[in-house]
Amino acid sequence: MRNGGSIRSKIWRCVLVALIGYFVATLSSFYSNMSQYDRLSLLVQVHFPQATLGNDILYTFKRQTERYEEAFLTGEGELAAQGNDLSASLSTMLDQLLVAVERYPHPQVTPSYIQGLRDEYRAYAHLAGKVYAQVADVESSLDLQKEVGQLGRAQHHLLTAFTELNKRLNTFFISEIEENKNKSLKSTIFLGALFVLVLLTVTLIIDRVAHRLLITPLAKLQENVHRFSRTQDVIRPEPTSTTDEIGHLAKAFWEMTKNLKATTVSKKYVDNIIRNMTGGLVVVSPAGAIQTVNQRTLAMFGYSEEELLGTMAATLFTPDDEAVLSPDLINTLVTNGPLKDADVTCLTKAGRRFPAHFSGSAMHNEEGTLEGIICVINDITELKNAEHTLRKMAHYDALTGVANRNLFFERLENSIRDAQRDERIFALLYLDLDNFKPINDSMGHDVGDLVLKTVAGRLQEVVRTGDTVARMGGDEFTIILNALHSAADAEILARKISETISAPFVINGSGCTLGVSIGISLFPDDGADTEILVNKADYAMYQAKSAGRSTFRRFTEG
Amino acid sequence: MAADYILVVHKENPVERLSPLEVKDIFLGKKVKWGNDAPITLVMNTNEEIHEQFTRVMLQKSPVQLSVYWKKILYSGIGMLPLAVKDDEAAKSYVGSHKNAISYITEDALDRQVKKVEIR
Repeated sequence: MRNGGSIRSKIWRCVLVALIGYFVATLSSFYSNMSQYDRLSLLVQVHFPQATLGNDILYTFKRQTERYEEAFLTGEGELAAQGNDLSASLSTMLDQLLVAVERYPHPQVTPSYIQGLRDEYRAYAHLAGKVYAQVADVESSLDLQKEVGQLGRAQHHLLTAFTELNKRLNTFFISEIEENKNKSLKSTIFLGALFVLVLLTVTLIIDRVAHRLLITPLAKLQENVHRFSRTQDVIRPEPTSTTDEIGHLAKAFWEMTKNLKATTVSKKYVDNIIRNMTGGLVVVSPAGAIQTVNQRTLAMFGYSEEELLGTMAATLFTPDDEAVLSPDLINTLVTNGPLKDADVTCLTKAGRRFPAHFSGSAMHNEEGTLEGIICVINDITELKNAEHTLRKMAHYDALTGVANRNLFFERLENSIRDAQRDERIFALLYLDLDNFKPINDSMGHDVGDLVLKTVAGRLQEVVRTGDTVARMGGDEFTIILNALHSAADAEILARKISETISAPFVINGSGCTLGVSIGISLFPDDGADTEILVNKADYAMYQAKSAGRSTFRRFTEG
Repeated sequence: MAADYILVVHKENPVERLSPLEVKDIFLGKKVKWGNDAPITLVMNTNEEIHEQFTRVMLQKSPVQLSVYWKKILYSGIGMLPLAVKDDEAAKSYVGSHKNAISYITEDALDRQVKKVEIR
């Protein structure tokens, strides 16, 4: 059977099966009733009249013989005549029975048997009519006695025959009734069994048909729906015909799921994104309580999810930053729009602080009411460290760790500005190591670098807080000596520096000595400009070097 | 005083005596053969005194009843009417000349023609 077709045609198929079953049952019931009707008709029209005739014949014959007997005993001619009157009707009855048996053959009473009886009776009646009318002389007439005796025997024979005939007709009639009764019972049982059988068969067939045509396709559809809810995956169904509604429903569902998959982002997908976000995600209720956190947040702060959910978001920030996610801030986020990459300091469960960027935006549902604040927290510790390193690289000398040219000029400008504002003086010292080149050439760059580092260290030690030591390149250093009372202070410090540098070095187990030539320029006496001050100090340094090393010179004109 | 009756048979008939029941059966046609299978021939002695006494005492019937009884037997074809004679002489004469006959006569009328059978 095809599984296709419309639901209407499927239901019609079920109805058709039921109708066929009903038709079969009705037909057999009709047949059974008709045959019973036939049998009962035969009983009423044939067997019952036959049996009745048998009774009437016997009864009439008995009456006749009684009349004859009375006539014989009493000699009343009237009684004999009454007996004779019955002969005609009895003869007629026998004729009727003969006709009935000829028309509807009787298994135990043949027409010839009745014919024989009829003839015998007619002979008897004929003789009886003569004899019993005149029996007054019976005692004296032996012939008459013989005739009476002969009639008596004939009468006895007929009585026996009629009794037997009646018995046969009645027995057959009763047996026919019995048979009818049995047949009726059998046909009732048969019909009952047939109805039950038809009912069962029809029910079974309808069940199978309905199962195959309706339930199985619906179950497949249901399975697909379940499959979709579990795995978002659906097998493409194929309608078997253009009128297969269930097939089309299944296909429509399949298309719907396809469209859904194409247009909707599943919760799993979103969860996956949130879980794999590099930033810490925290969703906060309008009242400020944490509603959702992702794994990254937990890892950053060292809390478990249970510990965080429901607690106030302020827990995550240092007391200084508590303003973050206060009701005021939430209002601000709602009215002024998202906050992006605000610098905050976070506080872990263990009490560690770390710098972070905080972004927050208000989340509204479809009705437009505030559902919460979506916050993203990014740990920027490494960024801060990198910034620090970069800044250091930009301002400090990589080898010695003292300020480089850039920072030096920056500081120099600061010093000029501060000194101008405070009306103070400061000195700029330009240093060039003596005999550094021979050491560098003979003992290698490593040793040279070590010497430069040592020199830088000694310079840092000898200057005051607030002074700046810088390396200008090669073996040249500069020092800004701020807040001097007089030019003499600069020279005192220059001498001290010179002495410090001149102290012997121990490099790779062997000692050596360095000298330094120092040029000094003063603000504001020598200039109020970085370039002038540097040039003048440089010039003074060359003068000191010309004067014979390990000495210092103040800048002087000429 | 009515005369007593006696049963008589042919002299060659070996029977010596009959019980009252046997007598009744014979005269009502129920016992129809002698011991040697010879048919019994009944002779009714219709001599008024003897006939009435015999039928009433031995057969417990009136003579009319006995007549109707025998007619019914005749009517139903079972048997013929018994022979009837007028007096003792006729009875003795018939019994004396018929080997299988039986009848009843006045006791005083017994002679050598017939043989008396005792009723006991």
